[in-house]
Amino acid sequence: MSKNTILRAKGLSKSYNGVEALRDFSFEIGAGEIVGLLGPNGAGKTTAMRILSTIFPPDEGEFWLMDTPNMRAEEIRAKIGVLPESMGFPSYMSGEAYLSYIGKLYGKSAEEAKKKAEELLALFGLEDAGSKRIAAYSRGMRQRLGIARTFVHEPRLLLLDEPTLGFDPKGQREMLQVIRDAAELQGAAVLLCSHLLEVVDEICDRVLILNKGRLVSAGTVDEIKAKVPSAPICRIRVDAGVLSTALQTVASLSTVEAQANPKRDDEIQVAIPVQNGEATVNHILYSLIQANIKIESFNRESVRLSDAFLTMIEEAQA
Amino acid sequence: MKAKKDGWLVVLTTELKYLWLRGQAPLLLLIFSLFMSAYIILLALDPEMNVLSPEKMTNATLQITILSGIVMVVLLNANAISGERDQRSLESLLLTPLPRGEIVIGKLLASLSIWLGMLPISIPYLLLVARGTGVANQVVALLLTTGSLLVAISAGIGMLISSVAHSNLVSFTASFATILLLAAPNQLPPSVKEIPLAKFFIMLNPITAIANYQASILDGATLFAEAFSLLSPIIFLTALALWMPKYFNRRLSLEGGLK
Repeated sequence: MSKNTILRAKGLSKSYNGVEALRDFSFEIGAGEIVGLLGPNGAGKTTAMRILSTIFPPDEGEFWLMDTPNMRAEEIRAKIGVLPESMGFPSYMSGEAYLSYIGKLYGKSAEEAKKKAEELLALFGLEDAGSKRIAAYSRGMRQRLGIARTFVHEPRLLLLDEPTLGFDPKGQREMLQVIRDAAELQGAAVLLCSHLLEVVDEICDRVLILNKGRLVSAGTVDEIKAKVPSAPICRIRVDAGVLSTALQTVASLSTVEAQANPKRDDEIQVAIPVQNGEATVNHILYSLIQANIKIESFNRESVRLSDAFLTMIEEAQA
Repeated sequence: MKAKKDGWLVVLTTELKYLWLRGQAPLLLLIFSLFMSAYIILLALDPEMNVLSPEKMTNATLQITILSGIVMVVLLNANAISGERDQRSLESLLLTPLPRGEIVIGKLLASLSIWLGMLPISIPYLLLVARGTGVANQVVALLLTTGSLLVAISAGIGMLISSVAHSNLVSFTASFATILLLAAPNQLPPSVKEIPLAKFFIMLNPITAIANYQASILDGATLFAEAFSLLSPIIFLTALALWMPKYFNRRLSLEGGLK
C-alpha cells in the first residue's frame, strides 16, 4: 500500500440468498482523491458502499482504511463519513440536536458537539433551520443534513451515495464545492455514487464502473472517455444558401465524414477522427474560409462520460 | 476519533429526554393512571362488582399492575430498534463507532424508566386494595422485586425481538405472543401444576416461576422461605444482561430477518 493510500479493497464479494451482488471488487483510493462509482441499478454500488461502511461484512475479500483492516469495524467507522442512499432521521429531533447527538456518539463532549453542530449547520446553509424539527425539513434540507452528518468527526474517507439528490443547480454547485474542499484541503478520500454523470465528470479524478457486481472499467475520466470508439462531433452553422457548398467543401477532405443536420437547413455535422483531431478541425475551418464561406457558429462536442458509460455497460452486457 | 467509552449513556440520556419531554412516557402514565382509577373504583372497591376475597383482589391488582408495566416496556422496546428501521434512521446509528450493544443497552434502560414512573402511581392503589388484608407490605415488596424482575425480563425479550424484526408491527406481535406463551402455563389447572414434571417446567420458566412465588407469598409464605423460586428468573435475567451486549455487537443488522 502506498504511503498516501487511504482505502485499499481486495477481492470484495457479497451474495444475498445465492444471488451475487458483488464479485472480486478491488481498488485503491489515495488521499485527496475523488473517485466515482458508477453502474446501472443493481450493479452492486450500494452493496459496495455498505461493505466499506461496515454495515455488512463481505463474504470474501478484505479492505483496509489506512492501516486498519475491515475486521476492526468500530475503528473503521470512527474514520469514515457516510451518506447512505435514502437515509432517514429521527424526525422528532431538531437538526442541531441530531448533529450534536451524533457528535457525542463520536466521542465529542457536549460543548464540542454543539459547537460542531452549529458550524456544520452554517456551512450547509441550515443555520435558520437548526432549531426546527427534522420532520419539517424539505428533501433538499434533509440531504444537506445528511451530508453535514458525515463531517461531524473530520473523516479520512467519505462514502457518498447520490450526494446531490434533491438539490437545485445552485445547491448542487455548493455541495460539490464542499466535497472538493474536503478532498483538497483536508486530504480526505472520497468515493461517490451518482447517476448524474455530469456531476461525476465534473468532480471525479477517477471512475470505477460496476456491472452485475463486477468491475468492468476503471481509470481517469479522460481514460474512460478515450475507451469509447465513437468520434467527437463538430457542428458548423453557415448561411442556409451556401449549405451545399460548405458540405461539399468539408466532404472533400478525405479524413472526415460530413453530413447535413436533418433537423436544420443551416448546419453540417462532422465526425472528427480521434487521431489528429485538432489538426483535422483546423483543416476544416481553413478549407471553409478558403472557400469564402462565412461560419456563423462552430461547436465542438467532446465525448461525454455518459456516452462512454453507456457504451461500456452495453459491451459488458453483450 | 474514537467512540465515547460511555456511549450507552449518551444513548440513554438522549432517549430519556425524548421519551419524557416529547410526552410519550407522560401520556402512557396518564393512561395507566386512568385505567387503574377506573379499575379500583369500578371493580376492586365495589362490593357488588367484586366477587373475589380481599386477598385475591390484592393479588389480582398486583398482577394487573405488573402486566401493565410489561405491556408498556414491551411497547417501547418493540419500537426501539424496529421503529428506527421503519423510519430508516437505524443506519445512522449503526454508522457511528459505538459498539452496537451499547446502542441497545441505552435504549433498553431508557424504556425501563417507564416502570420507575409507574411505581409511585401503583403503590397507593395497591395499599388501598390491600387495606385490612395484612399483606400490604408483602404486596408492595412483591411489586418492587418480582414486578421489576418480570418487567426487566420482558423488556429484554421485547428488545431481542425488536432487533430481529423487520417492522414495528412484527415486533409488537411477536413480543406479546412470546410473553403470552411463556405465561400460558399459569392457566393450567392446579392438579396439573402439581405433577412433578410440570412443577419443574414452571420453576424453569422465569415468568411462571415468578407468578408461583407471588401466589405463595400472598398465601402466607414468608418472602425468603420461597426465594429459591426466583432462582430461574434471576439466572435468566443475569444471562440476558451478560449475553445481550455481545449478541448485539455481532448481530444487530440494518435489515431485520423476522418478517
